[in-house]
Amino acid sequence: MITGTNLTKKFDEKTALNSVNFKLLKGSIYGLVGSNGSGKSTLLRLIAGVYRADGGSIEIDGEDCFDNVIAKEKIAFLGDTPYFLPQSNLVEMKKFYKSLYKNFDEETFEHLLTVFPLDKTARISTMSKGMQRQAALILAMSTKPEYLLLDEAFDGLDVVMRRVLANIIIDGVEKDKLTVVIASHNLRELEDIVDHIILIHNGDMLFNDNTENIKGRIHKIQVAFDRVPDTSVFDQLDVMKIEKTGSLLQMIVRGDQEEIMKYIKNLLPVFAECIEPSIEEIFLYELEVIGYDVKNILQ
Amino acid sequence: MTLKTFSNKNSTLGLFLFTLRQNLGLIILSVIGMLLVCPGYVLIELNEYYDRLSKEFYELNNVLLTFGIAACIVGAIGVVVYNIINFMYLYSKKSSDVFHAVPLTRTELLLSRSLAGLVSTLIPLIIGYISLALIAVFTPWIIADLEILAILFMYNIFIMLIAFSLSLVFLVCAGSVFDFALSIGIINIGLLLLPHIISVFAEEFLFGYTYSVVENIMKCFSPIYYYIFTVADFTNRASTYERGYSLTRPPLFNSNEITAIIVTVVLVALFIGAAILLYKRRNAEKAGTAYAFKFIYVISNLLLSFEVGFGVGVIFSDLNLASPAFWIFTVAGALIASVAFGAISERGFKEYKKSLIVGGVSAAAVLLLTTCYALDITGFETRIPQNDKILTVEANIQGFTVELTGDDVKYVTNLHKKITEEYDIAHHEMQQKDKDYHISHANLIYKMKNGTTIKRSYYSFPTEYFAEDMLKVCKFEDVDSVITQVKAEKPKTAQLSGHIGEGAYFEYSITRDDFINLLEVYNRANDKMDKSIFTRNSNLYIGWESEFYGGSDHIDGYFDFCVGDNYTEFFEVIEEIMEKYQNLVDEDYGKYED
Repeated sequence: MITGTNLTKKFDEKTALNSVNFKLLKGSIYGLVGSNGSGKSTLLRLIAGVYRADGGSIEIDGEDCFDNVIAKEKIAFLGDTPYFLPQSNLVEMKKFYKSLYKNFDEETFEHLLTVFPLDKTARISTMSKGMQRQAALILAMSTKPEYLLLDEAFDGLDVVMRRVLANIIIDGVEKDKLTVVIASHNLRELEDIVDHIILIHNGDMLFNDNTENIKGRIHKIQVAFDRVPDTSVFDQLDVMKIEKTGSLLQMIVRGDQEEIMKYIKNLLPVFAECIEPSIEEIFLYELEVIGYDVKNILQ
Repeated sequence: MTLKTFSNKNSTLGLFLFTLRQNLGLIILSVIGMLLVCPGYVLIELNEYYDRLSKEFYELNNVLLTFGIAACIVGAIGVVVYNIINFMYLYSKKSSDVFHAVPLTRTELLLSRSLAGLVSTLIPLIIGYISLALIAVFTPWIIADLEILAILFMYNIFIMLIAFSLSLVFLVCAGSVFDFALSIGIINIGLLLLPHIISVFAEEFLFGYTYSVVENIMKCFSPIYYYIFTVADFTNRASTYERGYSLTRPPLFNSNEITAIIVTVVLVALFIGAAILLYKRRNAEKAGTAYAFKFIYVISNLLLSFEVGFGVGVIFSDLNLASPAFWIFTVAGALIASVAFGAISERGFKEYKKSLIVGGVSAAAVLLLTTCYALDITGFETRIPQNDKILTVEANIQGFTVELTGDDVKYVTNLHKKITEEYDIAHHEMQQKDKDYHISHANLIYKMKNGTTIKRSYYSFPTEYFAEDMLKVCKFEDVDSVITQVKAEKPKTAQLSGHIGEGAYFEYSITRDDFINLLEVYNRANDKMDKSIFTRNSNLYIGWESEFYGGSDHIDGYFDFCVGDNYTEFFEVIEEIMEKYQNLVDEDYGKYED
């Protein structure tokens, strides 16, 4: 388990993470989402032990992450731009990682080379961005980590390779109880594989919950009336957003679905329907509530 | 450091070996280069010598010294270059992410990468030293002192370790290779210049200050200078010239070497400890910025603006450190230098206010130093060593060099006190009497019982006014020891040269007997010396070559005669010599003409 307690990180004057508290359970896949500059990459680097926290603590299975070999042996971190030793190929990088990670598994390495068909003797610097990311993934997975941290995992990968990566991750979680944290802007893809979502904005963790609960908590309601009532009738509900198009109202409401529908039906609508929002929509709505939305930015 | 620091021995060793393998190409190239030089080039030169000079014995010591000095320089540069290569990852966010995420502590990461570079540098150097040692041992017609090679190797290691550990500190503190080079250059060169600047101030304002002490200050300020000085001192002692010419052959390994060992151990431990502590505190996100630790920037900026401010002030005030022009241009120079350095480091002028503050502090430091020296707040000028605390004092007064101990030191301290207290009065009085009065100079070196040395130099004090006290000091000139030394060394030849009064310059080779006779006459004449000895217009020197058994075949010596009006017998002997040897010269000249 990864535990963050009052975790704070500052870069000169800017606070990247502001006293966040969280727990990441083993054997889960976390999607780490947030606006640009929200602190996603910073959080991953704090967990990986690359950055040192300015306040609070972050622990992996009870071990402090920073400058701690026991914690770092369990982690494989893949940054948004992979790095390889100058003029190296996969064979040389394999030797590099093998010299450092005692759990490095040659079989996994060779197997992944068949899954991601790369030439292990070719210079990595000559490969495309997507191929470099594949190379980095092969090396990371070969270290047999318990925690895999991926920053923009799918960036640069083609559609097929994204699916392959997703399968590898799911396979790892099922077989080896791998815990994965994926920071990404591509929420549609994340939705297919993650079971938890963490939303960060301006250094604050807005929520950290499993996708079922999140989707169960926020609902998109479409309701039509003969005569549209005043929106104040919905004050009893926790309405995040309400849009009116003619006699059709589209609302985003937080709360229990049954109770919400019961309340709305009491208002005698012509038509009322609850639609499950996508993760992307939930992300947009949550940020809109705190003022980070398209309309505010374009003003 | 605890056991936890090295809990991951296999990974640490793994990274060390991996880094060594990465450096393999460079190691092979440098080994090949070394083999070409030594034994390659050395053997070729020895072979030519052997064929050319009919199998005479060959003195290899100078080759060992040349190799040792070159190896010190190459080793120092090599280890710094390897450190830069192995720590480039600090300066890019991408590489920093990878290296700081690996399962090693920061200490392990630092030591495994840096030690791999150190070993990479050592390999070719060790090969070179072993080659030379084998040549020295297994070539029967070579004379070589293996102790010289061993001590040079020791110094080589010291200098490499200092370069290694010092560069680590700067690498950890910097945010890019450019800023590393800038900061290490500014601080090390700055530390070399700083004692000179301080000495310039002191010499300008402090009566009696001698610039020669700057060497000792530099040794304390600058590790680079300390090692250059120490190695230069050793190579001088070990050179064929010195070793060959010295009858007693002092030991090569002396207190200087022991001091060097202690200094090296302390400095290396300090620098490596600092590097480790700083690296543990270093924020990985500083990759790509100018400095990971601001204090390096501040120190570099302070040093640079201090020295540039001083330089500008000196140039624009025509070396008049007491003038308002010096103050104005010092401030301007310091501020401009500071802002310029800040702009280079911050890649722009956005932090110009902070730079101005640093420049202002430097300018203030220059002005404070000027004021402190001008007011002599430490009481330097009037500080006379206490007689009972002096071990020996060497006084050089107008060419007379004497060394006094015990109660006799009081003659020097009395003269010293009189000069400091009555210098201005003396000039004033002499100006009333005679516009063209003679002036003298004196250099005093006190060796104190507590091991310290105090040096003073006084120039342009009126001879007439201080003559009595000067004579009391100079009567102790030790000609007897020169006579004893010359008699022991059995000089083959002696060269007498110089001029008397307005006479022409002469130079003769004289016999040992004439030489000793001259010295004994001079010794007797010294008893009658008067103040004319300080106003003489004669310069006489004698140099001699002696026989030496084993190694080189001559030793050089030198003595100069300070003569005044009462040296009548001495001048007679000089004239006899001139006449005798002039006739011999004329005879030889006639022979060649025929």
